[in-house]
Amino acid sequence: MKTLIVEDDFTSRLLLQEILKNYGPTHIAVNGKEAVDAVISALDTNEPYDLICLDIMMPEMNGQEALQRIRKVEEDKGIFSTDGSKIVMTTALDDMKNVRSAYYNLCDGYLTKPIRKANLLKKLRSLELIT
Amino acid sequence: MDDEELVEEIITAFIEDIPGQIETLRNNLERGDIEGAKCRAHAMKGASANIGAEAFRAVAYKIEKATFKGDISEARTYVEDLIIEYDQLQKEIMNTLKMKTP
Repeated sequence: MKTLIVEDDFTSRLLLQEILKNYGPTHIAVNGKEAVDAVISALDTNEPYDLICLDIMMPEMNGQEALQRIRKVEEDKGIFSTDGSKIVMTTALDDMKNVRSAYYNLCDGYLTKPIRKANLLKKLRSLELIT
Repeated sequence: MDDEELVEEIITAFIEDIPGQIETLRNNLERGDIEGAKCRAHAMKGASANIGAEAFRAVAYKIEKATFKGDISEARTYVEDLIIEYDQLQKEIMNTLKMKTP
């Protein structure tokens, strides 16, 4: 499983990376703009991300906009969202309005902070990324 | 790395990372950069939630809410509280980690 972690906060990034690196390579982006660039180059080399953990609120380009752009990039390559990367939004508990918009923009799930290892792994199982 | 080591690493990273974030937040507020301040407060809220630092999280959330209202002076009044909560947290964490070393 190849993962892209998109987080502006260092400790959240570290937490996700330490858990996810047990399942395959993990790449890091610190804002939405870097995330979209990473997705484009992964698709160009035919090694797309299986999972993208996308923080909603970030400087430069936020998670909502990045989500829309990533789905657009996939669509332009003829990849339907259900066959594209699994995108899990990470967000604060008091941010549920944003979660609804994210589903509208075709994310596959969300995780609230505090991020808990058990919840993260459960989500990956339900998305059939790990067994 | 087992789960306990992971927890320790995350907590240590938090303690090392936060002073710089508070400094950035303070600069954002002084420059009137409300969007920057919003992002910093939000990031610190998430980071503290991850390690269960509830008192710190509550102050970060107050600052975030003030920035959402565009109220820089209200946001500024909480920065001192944030530093106090950080100092408190750092002491508690250092004591706990010290106790653990044989």
